Amino acid sequence: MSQRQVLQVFEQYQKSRTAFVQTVAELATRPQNIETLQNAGVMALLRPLLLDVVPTIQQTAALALGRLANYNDSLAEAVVKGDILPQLVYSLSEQNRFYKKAAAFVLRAVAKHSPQLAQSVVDCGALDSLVICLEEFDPTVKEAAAWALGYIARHNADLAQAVVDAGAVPLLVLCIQEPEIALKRIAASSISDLAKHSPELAQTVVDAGAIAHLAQMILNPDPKLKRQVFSALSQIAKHSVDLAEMVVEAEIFPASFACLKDSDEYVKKNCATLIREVAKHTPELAQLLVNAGGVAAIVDFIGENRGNIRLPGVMMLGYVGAHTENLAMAVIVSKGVVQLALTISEEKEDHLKAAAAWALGQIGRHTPEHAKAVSLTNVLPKLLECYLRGESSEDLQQKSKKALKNILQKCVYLPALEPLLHEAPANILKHIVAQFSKVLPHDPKARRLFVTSGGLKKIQEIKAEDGSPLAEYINTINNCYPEEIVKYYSPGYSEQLLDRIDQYQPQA
Amino acid sequence: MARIIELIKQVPNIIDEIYENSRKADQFRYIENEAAIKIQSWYRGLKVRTYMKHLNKNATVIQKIWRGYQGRRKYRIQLEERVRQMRLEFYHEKAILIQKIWRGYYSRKYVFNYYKRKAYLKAIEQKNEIVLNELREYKDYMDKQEEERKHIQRYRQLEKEAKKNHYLISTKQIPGIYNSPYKPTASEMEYILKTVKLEPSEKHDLYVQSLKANKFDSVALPDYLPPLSNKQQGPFRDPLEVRKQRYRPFSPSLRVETDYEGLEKARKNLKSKEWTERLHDDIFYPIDKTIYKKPYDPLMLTKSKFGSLNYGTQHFREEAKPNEWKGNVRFKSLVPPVPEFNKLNKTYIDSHYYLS
Repeated sequence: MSQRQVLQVFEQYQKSRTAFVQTVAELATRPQNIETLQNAGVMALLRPLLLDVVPTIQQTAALALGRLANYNDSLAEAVVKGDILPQLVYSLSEQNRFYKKAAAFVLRAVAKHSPQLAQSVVDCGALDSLVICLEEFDPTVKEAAAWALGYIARHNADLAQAVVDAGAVPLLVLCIQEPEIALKRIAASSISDLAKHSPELAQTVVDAGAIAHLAQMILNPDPKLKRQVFSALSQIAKHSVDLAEMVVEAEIFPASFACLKDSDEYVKKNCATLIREVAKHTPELAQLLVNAGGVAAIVDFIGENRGNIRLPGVMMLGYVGAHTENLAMAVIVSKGVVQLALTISEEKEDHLKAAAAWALGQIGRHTPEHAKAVSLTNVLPKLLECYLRGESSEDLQQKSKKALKNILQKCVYLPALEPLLHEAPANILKHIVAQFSKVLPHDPKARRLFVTSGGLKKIQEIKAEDGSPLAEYINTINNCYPEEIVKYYSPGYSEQLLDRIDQYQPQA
Repeated sequence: MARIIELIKQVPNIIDEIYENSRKADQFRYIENEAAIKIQSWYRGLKVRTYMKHLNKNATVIQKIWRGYQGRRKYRIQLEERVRQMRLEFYHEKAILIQKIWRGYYSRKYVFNYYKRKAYLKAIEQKNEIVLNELREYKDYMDKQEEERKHIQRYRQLEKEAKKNHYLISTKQIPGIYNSPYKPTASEMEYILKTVKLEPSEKHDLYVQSLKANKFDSVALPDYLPPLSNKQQGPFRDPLEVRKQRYRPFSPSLRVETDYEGLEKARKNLKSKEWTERLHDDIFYPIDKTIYKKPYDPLMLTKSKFGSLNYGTQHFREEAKPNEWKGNVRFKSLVPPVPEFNKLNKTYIDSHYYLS
């Protein structure tokens, strides 16, 4: 046996190992293969290959593992149980950049599925190594590490706090400033995941100076980056007034209104979410948005989009209208109410209807002027329908009831109230009749109209318990009219008349 | 005596007369007594009446004076009261005016200002209009760009296709498949086929262009060189690189560049300078060229476009005499004067004055 022959054996072995790992990695890309691979015990085979002498095999094994773990929960758990993570974490700080990338991918794939799995990744001490990877020169490694950190932080506040404690935030902020778009995108997404849990975490992100860099990128041509940037900004702004003010101070308005017209749907949605998160805190912030023309932009946005995308826009209108009557009036003159009414009638889904109903209630509850503006869009019957429809969700019913109540209690525009009189159930009718009883004593024209339109008749048909507020209101209305008219419209009046014929004695 | 005798003779007559007289006296005594009493009573009555009259007259005078005094005093009190009332009314009126203005201002500022709200809403509408317009323009612009990009992409693809299938171009004699004789015009592909250039020639053009565009410092392509043939043979280095090397500027090392006698020259210079500066640190140069180069700097007075001031004028502008600004009327009373007081020649209440 010559030396060459001996070496040939090794070479062949190495070649077959390489072929095996590469094939497994290739197979793992198809979801239909995963189960077969799992049943064939791929985990047990891949694990020793992670410690192979040849770097290529190590990397490819890690890649295959990552793809498997990415697939579902149980496979990720199998990775954890196979004690693979400590190896990965150990080699994360030792190996070359290709390996680091693959290892970070595995960690990310494991951490993605559940808080427990993410916690097990953290328990292996992966955070420190990942943070060190963020300092790597290679942008792809940074990207992988930032991605993994983001997936870990995504689950809950504790995990996010752990990521923050590992010192990831300043490095993520540095990553945003890198020229590579992909890295920026991932870093922005990780920051968004970090900031979403609590005000303290968001404050940490803000303290690292993230807002200024994020704000610079809102007009970036890359739509996927914009998605993440808007998401991050809205996650920061959602917690408190101070944070929202910090976001506003980065002068993102009115520049970001342009993104409401973007071609990418998620950019639009996240942008609208950001506007909503800013508007919800204080009247001053809402005023700022209104003065910058944000309401018109949002109304336009609601008009142009369908379905779930318009939800944040609808809620933004509600928040703005809820703050003060002045702002609610601004929404009305920006034709927001018309658009909300359209939303209620167009949308099929209950939660969108509920949001629109809520927004209308917030806008209409301030003064009779507001209530009139809302009722002029003919939205009250639709709200009532939403409330009465059997198949609408409980939330929608509750919200539409509340909105109806809010609007009705302020509404003195009788033509809008009249149709409701015939359809409303008792608990809504109470408010409608109350409004009539307030207006009719002071308005002769309305009294006349009320009789001719059949309202009075309807009122007489209502059966109210004595002493209830409803009975009181009915009494007030009846007092506005001569007794004969009231009697004439009361049910059973014709029988009374017939009775009188019986009792009548003909003269002579 | 005769007399006495005469008298004695006359005694009976006298007695008669006495008797007669006493009888007569007796006869009228009562009447006379009555008359005397009447006269006395009249007189006494008259006396008393006159006295009473006198007393009454006195009393009237006293009463008249007293009542006049009382009346005037009451009048003055009433007048005082009336003036006070007038002033009070006046002050109330003014207070109401102040309150009205303040309340209006306060409520407009802090409670609700209808016109301001109206203007605000109008402004918002305008702003909305502007924003919507801007957004629309932005959208149009983006759409246009997107369309352009797509168009270019499509064109590139067609061009690529055309390069591959360049043989499908029509010749003078035989129309190609894109130039059907049964159609009025040739299809777009035909024109693209005509415009595209084939791979190798394109490469060469690009190459020549890049040579002309990339003029690295002294490595311009000389005009007199013969054109390079399209086809190159052998594994040559990049001609650009070769040319760069060939026309590389002369860059001697620092040691070669330095003057060989630099040190001596410097010493000499220093020495001559020291010799000239032995006496003074500030050397006097008789003719300083820099002086002549300095531009003429005119006086500020002559340069001013307002012109110079006349001689003897103390101030820039003639100041008006202070008396001209003053009116003749020194005071202006806030409360109008009451004519009644002037009639009585006395002011009972001090007027309120502004010091003008």
